[in-house]
Amino acid sequence: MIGVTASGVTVRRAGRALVDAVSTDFEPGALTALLGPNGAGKTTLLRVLARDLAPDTGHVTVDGRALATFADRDLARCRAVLPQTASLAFGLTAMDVVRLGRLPWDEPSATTDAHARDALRTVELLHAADRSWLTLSGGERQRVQIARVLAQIAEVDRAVVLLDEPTNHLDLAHQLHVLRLGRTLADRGLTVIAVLHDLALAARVADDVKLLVDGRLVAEGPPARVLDPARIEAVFGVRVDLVQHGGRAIPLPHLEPPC
Amino acid sequence: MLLGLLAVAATLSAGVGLTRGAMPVSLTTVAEAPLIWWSGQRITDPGWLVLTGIRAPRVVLGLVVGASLGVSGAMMQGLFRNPLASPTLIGVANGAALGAAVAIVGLGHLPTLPLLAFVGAALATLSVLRLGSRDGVAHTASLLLAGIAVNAICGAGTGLLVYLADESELRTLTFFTLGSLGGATWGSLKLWVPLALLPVALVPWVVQPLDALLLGEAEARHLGVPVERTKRVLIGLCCVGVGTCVAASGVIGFVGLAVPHLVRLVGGPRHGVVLPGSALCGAALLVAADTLSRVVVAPAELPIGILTTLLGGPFFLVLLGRALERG
Repeated sequence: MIGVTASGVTVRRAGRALVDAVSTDFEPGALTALLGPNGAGKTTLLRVLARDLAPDTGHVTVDGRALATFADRDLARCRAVLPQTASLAFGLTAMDVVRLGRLPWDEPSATTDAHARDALRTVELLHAADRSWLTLSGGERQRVQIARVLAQIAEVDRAVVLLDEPTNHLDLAHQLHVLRLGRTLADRGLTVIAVLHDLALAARVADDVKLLVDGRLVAEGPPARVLDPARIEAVFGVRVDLVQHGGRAIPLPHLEPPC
Repeated sequence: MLLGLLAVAATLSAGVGLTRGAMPVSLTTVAEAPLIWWSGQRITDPGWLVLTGIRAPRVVLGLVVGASLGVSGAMMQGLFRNPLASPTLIGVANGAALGAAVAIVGLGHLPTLPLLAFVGAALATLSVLRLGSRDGVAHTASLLLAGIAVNAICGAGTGLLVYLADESELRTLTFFTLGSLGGATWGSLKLWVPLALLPVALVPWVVQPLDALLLGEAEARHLGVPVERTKRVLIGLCCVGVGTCVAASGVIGFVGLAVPHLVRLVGGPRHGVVLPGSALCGAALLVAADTLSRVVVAPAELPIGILTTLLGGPFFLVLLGRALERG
């Protein structure tokens, strides 16, 4: 089980703080949702956690150790990242892409194949294993990337999984499927951090919600506590009703803008 | 399978290259050559002399230059994640041409040409790398833009020297920019071969990083690939490899661009196939083109760069058309 801690993380670009002094803990074995309006700094914070960006001030620790001190290979064995948008210049097959997820591991090719097939099966794309990336639909591409992430951390129980809008491009069934996958990973003991846009989905699956506005962390905690109608209206400018469903309070938005 | 076929093609191409030319040499002579060489016999038959003194080093240089250009092209396309990339993008060819122009026109001293061509290639590449990096991070888009600028500046420098050149210098320079394998001797090969083959020799170490880079730079980093180091290594390899090729045989166009495509069309985009395939295919095609260049206007010869570009150009246009069609 590894926890992730951000301490005073600030990222400035062109004089503006995209992420502003964020200090928080991400618990292992929990699915944490990063929420906030467009431009709130969710993706920037995720990129700091992924070590794509070095914060201008502050730092991140993973398992108590400064993120900056990890060797590339060691980090790749305990941290997987699903990018917001994926593009490939050349037509690798779905299987090739997923196999690349096993790159951090020194293992026989047959083991790589087995892991890659398992991951493709999990996202229900085993039948498309030999199809070229260029012929896959947006949703299929997203699922192949998810499979790549799953393959990277297969059989690992100490890892951080960073998902940037994992439900992008997916139809309803696959959105739910992917969120269930996130749940499963968290239940396995992994630290799952996902940028989400759909408050209702977040309220249904997340253990912990962190709400960002203008780069600042304004609220965090269990969804039932953070996602109250008054706060949602203040932050998102949308009025919502809470609907009880499956033992959780799900925010459902009104169509009309608030007066 | 594909690699086996390409290896056969390269061998055949070398065989044809050794036997054909202004003076035909029989296949038996070629086949017997290693034995005779081994036994240390001295033979004065003109066919034999042509074979060992002129044609064999030329074919060896063709194989090496073709392999090096093919692999370097594949590496650049993988690194820049762009099917239209080629070693010329990072300034190698134009830098070398400027170096050659300085040797020919500025110094009027031909023996320094290979050295200055190599130095020109290296300086151009280093400036591209330097201009395209900030805080130790080489940004692909900046590298491309820096490459365009450095290429243009080198081109202008060469143009200035062309303007100052006299008739014979102009002719030498023109032939340099059209390429030729004619300068090969066993003595010069000792220097060219190891340098030119450097990118080929290191292929096993760059296959995985390049495959990961197909996903994107951030994604490759997430998979544990040291992306910045990989970029520098790849650009360095191409600079040494292609710089040597240009110094040894002038500017030979389109091999670095078209060969990796050809391999990818048949064998798919995985670098475990593309890199060795491009080496073999480049070697086969360059020796074939050189043989053709010696045969079509025998006993004179056509500059090889004309042939590779004449054949490669239309091929490239077809590819471009396809890419546009696919959107």
